[in-house]
Amino acid sequence: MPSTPAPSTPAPSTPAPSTPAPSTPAPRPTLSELTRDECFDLLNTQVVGRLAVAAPGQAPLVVPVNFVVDGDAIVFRSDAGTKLALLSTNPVSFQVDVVDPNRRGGWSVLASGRAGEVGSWEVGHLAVEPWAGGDKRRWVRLIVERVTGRRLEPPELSWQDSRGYL
Amino acid sequence: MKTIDTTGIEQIDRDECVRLLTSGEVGRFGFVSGGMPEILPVNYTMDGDAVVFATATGTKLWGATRGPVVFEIDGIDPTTRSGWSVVVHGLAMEVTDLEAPALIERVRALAPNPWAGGDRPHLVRIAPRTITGRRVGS
Repeated sequence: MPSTPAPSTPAPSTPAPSTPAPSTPAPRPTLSELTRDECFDLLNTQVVGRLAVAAPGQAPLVVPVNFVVDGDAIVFRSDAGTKLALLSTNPVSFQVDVVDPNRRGGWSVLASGRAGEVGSWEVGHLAVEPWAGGDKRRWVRLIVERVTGRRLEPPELSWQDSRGYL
Repeated sequence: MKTIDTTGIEQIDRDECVRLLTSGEVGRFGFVSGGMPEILPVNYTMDGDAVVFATATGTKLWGATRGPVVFEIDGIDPTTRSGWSVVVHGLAMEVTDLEAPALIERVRALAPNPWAGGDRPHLVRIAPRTITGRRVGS
């Protein structure tokens, strides 16, 4: 077997600029898709997500709710209002994200599936304490059928890179 | 004046909602695609009381220009179990060069620099129909 030639292209030595480099190309952030397991792990780190319900011909209703993950399901509480009326008969999505304005990065997970009211005997053991007051004695379970997520990772700066400092 | 309903949820008035929107940087754009509600985070900026963001040709643009949309921002503090959210309902339009040049100039000047980079040549502007906000736990 012929020996693999050693890498033969020494990087052409660029003369060190005598003046500061005018424009080092900015490092690019990376956008990656998350796996289902990663999405669920991230869902588990949060206590507030955004419920979206699509009523026909209307913009989705979007409301933040306190929730917990129970297996493949997202569980939250509701009062007997518009939200509860809409979600058992319409497609439902649930979104959670964390964004970091300082690092200009973050992640977002979007789950969708079928939602319906469930009895407290099924899910009442779960610790869901809505921050909002009111009579939120109804329980809703969204069985997640599809979940997608993306993570935006800002470029790592080496310690020599002055852009890493404030 | 604070308006607080029976569930302890404070309604945030429109001016305060616009102030909160103006101080934000990332919001969630919601629309219905294939019958399913989608929510995607976007970098945005405000043009008066209209939300503007840049996007590539794709889901967001498709969703933007078909039917009513929603835009949401919120601030959540688990330690004090409090938070607020602002929701804009309206119609989204792509801002094109065919429109009033003054508008396109203004929006391009405002156009945010999306964190994700990439080529996002399209600008979407949401003309608000309603802007409402709620605050809990404070």
